[in-house]
Parts: sequence; structure tokens; C-alpha cells
Amino acid sequence: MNPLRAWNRFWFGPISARPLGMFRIIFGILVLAHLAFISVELDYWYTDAGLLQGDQARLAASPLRYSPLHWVQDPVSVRCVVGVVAAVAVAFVLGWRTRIMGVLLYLGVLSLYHRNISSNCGPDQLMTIVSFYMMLSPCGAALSLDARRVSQRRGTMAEPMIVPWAQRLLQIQLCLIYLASAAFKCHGNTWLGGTAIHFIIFNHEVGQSNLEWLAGYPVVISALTQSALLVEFALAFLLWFRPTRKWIALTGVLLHAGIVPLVNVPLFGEQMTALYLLFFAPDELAALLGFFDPRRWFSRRGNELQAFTARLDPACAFDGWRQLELAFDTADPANRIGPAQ
Amino acid sequence: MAWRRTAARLAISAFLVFHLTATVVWNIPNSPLKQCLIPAFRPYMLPLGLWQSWWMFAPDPMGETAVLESEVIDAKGMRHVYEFPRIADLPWWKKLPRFRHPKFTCNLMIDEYATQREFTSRYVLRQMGLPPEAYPVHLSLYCQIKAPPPPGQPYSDPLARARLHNLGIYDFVALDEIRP
Repeated sequence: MNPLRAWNRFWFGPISARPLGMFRIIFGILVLAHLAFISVELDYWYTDAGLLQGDQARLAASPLRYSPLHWVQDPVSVRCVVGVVAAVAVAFVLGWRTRIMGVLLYLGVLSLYHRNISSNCGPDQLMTIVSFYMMLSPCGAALSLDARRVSQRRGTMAEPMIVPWAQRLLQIQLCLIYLASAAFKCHGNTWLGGTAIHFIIFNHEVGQSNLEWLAGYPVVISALTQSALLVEFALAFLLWFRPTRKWIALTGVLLHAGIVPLVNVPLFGEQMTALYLLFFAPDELAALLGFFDPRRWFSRRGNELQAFTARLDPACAFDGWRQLELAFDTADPANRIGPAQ
Repeated sequence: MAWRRTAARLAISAFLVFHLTATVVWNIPNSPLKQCLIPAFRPYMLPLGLWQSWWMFAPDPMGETAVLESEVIDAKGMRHVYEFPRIADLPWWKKLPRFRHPKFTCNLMIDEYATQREFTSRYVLRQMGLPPEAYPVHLSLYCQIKAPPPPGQPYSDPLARARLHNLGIYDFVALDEIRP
């Protein structure tokens, strides 16, 4: 295989804009949820009526982590900033002027992130990084008011295509998180030894529910601990391949659902599982959406319609439509329109 | 027009290589290579908020429950205790948005956050609202730490004594010292 060609195909081969459009909607909603959580203790963490006053937030952030909220930090101004970021997030969800809203959303999330370095954790970190990538991506090309305006101007309802390099960065970032997290866990004794969840259960400040009774079943604890580690390793690789994708995505959803009663880190698992959508091919996304459409649960026609629309997907006509199936050619050639690959 | 597309792809490819190298360097375990390369990428990763560490519950999860407290002794020798928000006993819907408190406590236990310990102690005094004549005051910031039972044992001992982990001792001579 010519490596230059593979590079170009991976980063620049056009793909359907729909998975990214779907992710944009969910991510925007998660940002709104993040702002709602922030607003509960806004004064304590983000204003000078709380923990840090004057230049303390700037000193705590250390040089190079800039935020206008290091200077503007009275409660009223910070509320205004949060309100503006919320309005931007709504426009981002709707896909109105998505490019501009993407930039504003990133700046808003980054400003809040750098104002509160002392208690930021995984969900904040991930949200800032994802909003950076979303700013770079053409995430308003599908399922947005922008896309509707463009198609009305053009007079057709053609399927939008995008150059996916920013989407690829999001995919790689997700895999890197799982890989780094799993690899770091192997440095200790408790994950490989199967006792890590026992200790998490007894950290009551971090935990969500009291699950102390579970510690009476060390075999179950061991199975849960070691399978969590295994799934994290698997998620870093198996999302890339079509034959394993839906199964590992389902396992990943179960992993994060299992973390919910154990650990109180809202919006982390939600963001991680939403990122799986970026690996889906258009027909897989259509099948997933069909699964959640109650009209299709009772209708045979629904499935036929779904198969038909997947065949009509012009994204299939281009080299990059499949996410990374360099070795697995499982797609039915009859489902494609356009030149054979 | 083809040359423009090629130039754009070359520029994006250069950015991709740089960005991915920076991200990977940030994520590798501490090593001489990381120590050597991190300064080169810091001016890019920090301002953009791309710095990251995914050591969640790694290498081993912290099984001990840590709660932050502060003790103040004023000029008259009176002892005042300030308890930071504790979320362990809250119902789940109240816990959800308050997930930052345990993270903050854990962060303060890292030496890197020494400056913030001092800021936190000033916050404690602001919250206590002691009058000017109560100064000078002597403040200790500490964590109460409860150890988990050994693996296989299902319940922790509610009567077990907590261990104190001292985070810092500060003296403030006058009221105006607690406001920056």
C-alpha cells in the first residue's frame, strides 16, 4: 500500500457529514447540561464571591492558561458570560452559523475551564478538547439550519460530504484516552489484581451510591475490575473495524453505564459514548436511529425504508465513506452507488 | 487549482503531525523523553486547553475517603472549625453537580497545589467573618482520611478513627491579609 495514498485517504477522503452532525447536536446538549451543573455552584468556583479572589485565579492557573474570567469575575458578569455561552450552545445545537458558533463555544468553554483549574476534572478536560476539534470541523454540514439553507439555495436535498481530518482527530483522541487510561492502570496492583473497584466503592466522597455490600463478593469485584480494564483496551482499537464496531460500542456503553452508580463524574461517560457515533458509517447510523424510532419497532416498512435510504447514501460512492476498513470489506457492493473501490 | 488543494493538504498534514506529536507526548508516562519534549509543546497545549492527563483511578484508585477541614485559633485562643462541603451523604441529584469538591480535596493533597492551599485558607477566614480584634489568627488546613476495609470485607467500621493529613499551617496578622 502506498503510504501517501493511505494518509490522504484517511485524513482527506470525503465521508458522510451525518455522524458528525449527529454528534454536534448531542455535544451541544451536553455543553448545556455542563452549564446547568456549573450554575449550581457558580459563585463558589467561578466568581470572586467564592474560593478565589483578585489575582488568585490567575496565579492558580499559572502562566499560559488565559481566561477573561481571571479579570472579569464579579458574580453578575460571570452569569452574563455563562448565559451567552448557553445561547451559543443552543445555536450550535441547531446548526445556525455553525462555524462562528463553534469558535465562540470553544472560547466560552475554554474561559470557564481556565478560570477554575483547581477542581477541573475529566468531564471539563474532555469538553474543552472536543470543543476545540469541533471548532476545526465542518460539523454544521449536516442536520443543521446551515445545511438546510445550503440545500434550499441549491434546490436539492443532496447528502453533504466532508473532509474528515478534524473528525479523525476526535476519533484518535477518544482511542488515546482509553489506551492511556488502561495502560496507566497496569502500572498499579489493584486493577490487574482485581481489587480496584473495592477501593472505589469505599471512597464515599467520590462514589455515587453506597455499594459497600458488593465488597462481600470479591469474585464479582474481580470480574468487574478486570473486564473494565479489558474493555478499555479493546475500545481503543475495535471501534475502527466494522465487524466489531457495534459490539464494542455496546460494551462501551455498558461500561460507562456501570460507572454511573459507582463514581460521581457526570457528563464524562456521556461524552465518551457520544463520540462512538463518529466511527459509524451512514448505514450504521441509520440503523441506530431506527432502533430508537418507536414507529419502526412495530413496522416492517420502517426497516425496508431504512435499507433503501442507506443504499441511496451517496457517501458510499467515495473512497473515504468507510471509516477505516482497510482490511475488512464487508459492505455489500450492491448497496453502493458509483464507481467500485 | 490543484496546487492550492495540495498546498492546503500539506499545511493541514503538517499541523496534524505537530498536534498528534504534542498530544502523544502529553499522554506518555513520565520519562526523560517526555521531560525533554514537554517544554517545546507547552506554549501550544496550555493556552489552547489541550493539556490532558487520563490517570483516572490509575495506577491505583484512592480508596480512602478524604474530607477537607480547617481549624482556626484566634488571638483570644478561641478554636473555630470550618468544614468544607461534604457530599457523601447527599442524595444523588444533589451530588451530581457537586462532583468538583472531592476533586478539589484530592488536588490540594498534591504538592503542586501549595499556592492554592494558602488561597483556600484565606477563603476559610473570609467565610468565618472573624472581627478585626480576633487577629492575629493561626490556621491549619488538613484532610480527615478514613481508610477502606481490606478487600473481601464488605463494610467499613463507622467507629474507626480518621487519620489527619496536614496540608498547611498559616498565620495571618491582620484582617486585610485575607483579601488580595
